[in-house]
Amino acid sequence: MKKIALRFLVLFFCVLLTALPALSVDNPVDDLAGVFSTGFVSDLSRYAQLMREKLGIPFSVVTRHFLGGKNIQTYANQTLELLPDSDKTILLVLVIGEESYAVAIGDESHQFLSPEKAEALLNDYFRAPYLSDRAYEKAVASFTLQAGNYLEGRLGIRMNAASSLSPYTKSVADELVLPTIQPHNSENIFGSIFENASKSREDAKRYDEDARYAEEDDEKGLSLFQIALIGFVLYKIFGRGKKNNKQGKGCGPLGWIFGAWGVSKFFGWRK
Amino acid sequence: MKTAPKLILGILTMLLMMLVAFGIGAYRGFMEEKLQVDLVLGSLSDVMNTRIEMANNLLTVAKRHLPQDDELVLKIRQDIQDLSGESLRQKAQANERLDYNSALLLKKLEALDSVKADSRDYSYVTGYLPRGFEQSAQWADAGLYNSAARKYNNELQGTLNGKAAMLLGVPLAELFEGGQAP
Repeated sequence: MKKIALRFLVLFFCVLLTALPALSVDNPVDDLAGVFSTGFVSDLSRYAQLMREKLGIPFSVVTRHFLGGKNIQTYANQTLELLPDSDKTILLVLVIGEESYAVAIGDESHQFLSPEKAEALLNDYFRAPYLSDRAYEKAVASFTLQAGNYLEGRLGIRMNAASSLSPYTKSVADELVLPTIQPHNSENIFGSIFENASKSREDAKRYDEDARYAEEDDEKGLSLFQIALIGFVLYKIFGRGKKNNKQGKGCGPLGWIFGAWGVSKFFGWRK
Repeated sequence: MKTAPKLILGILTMLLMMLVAFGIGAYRGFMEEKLQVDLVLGSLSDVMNTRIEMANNLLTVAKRHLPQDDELVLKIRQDIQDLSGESLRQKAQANERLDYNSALLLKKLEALDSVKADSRDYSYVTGYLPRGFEQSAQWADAGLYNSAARKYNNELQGTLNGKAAMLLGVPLAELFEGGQAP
């Protein structure tokens, strides 16, 4: 039981670790779906850094292809909780293959950007380019800039960002060419089509280990200790009748122990 | 007490004690092994979730190109429901059917003009989804569980310890086998 409890404990920590998306202070954009250009990721990251430094509100974006049936808002909220500074962070999640999106806002940032206002910004600036034009960079850039401007107004702080994101708000969508599945990038691709590929991989590894462990031969039967104990108990009950005569030249309980050992071998009860 | 009857009584007591110890040992040993097999089944259920995820992903793409009452769509929806069920046999059958139905639906989608005209969905149907199904099938290989369960059942039914454990109420392990042609 101890072993099983330990396994569950290890699993719990593995799940906790693997559930954490590859987002960090230096890497606020996790483009798992591979729908952004490198230039856009770098410009968006720079703008997100500015929001963190000047406004004190971290901004992150995650893209994926599918969620495997999970509700997107639940996914966004759970992902937000795993981020550093989750109380302040604004997280935008795009699920390309499901044509859905969601924003999750940390509790402390609600006073500056309410979920209702975020929804309105998404409807006005994000929804059409995202759904109708599949212009993902344009959609994200437009929403990010509008959210940034709104937060500047609410906080009374200017970021003084001659934004490198502005050109993307005018761009039109190129035909989306998704990365081909190659062995070297399959990690990323599975990460974007399974809800939590790292956890699934861990589960599969554990399944394999458990199956191998279950197939190992466990010896069942009487152990040497049990045989010795039985022999000793029998000696105590039946083997001390001669204590008052001088003939007691035996070997104490050994006769009974060896007897029990031999009998267990005869019946095939021994390990 | 005379020596001979005492010796006989001693040997009989020895046999009895050893029999009891043997029974307890066999029961505990096989219960532990059953627990281990159940643990493997639990792990299999965890990875089986990736099959459900992939089926949901496939339906997400399919609903953009096929009517909701499409026969294959309905079948896969039923497979998802059965895969989430309680019965092991039902799950195994649903898993086997999902293999078959998902391959058919992917082929059907690939042949549709609307999918061909959509570079994103075409990539999903021809690359991402088949690869995802392949990977999930690899992760959720029921053969590993069945092999462990079979070994346990063989030991339980084919050894003296196992028979003693069975007499004392240790159950056989259920196999993850559908055995049903699609």
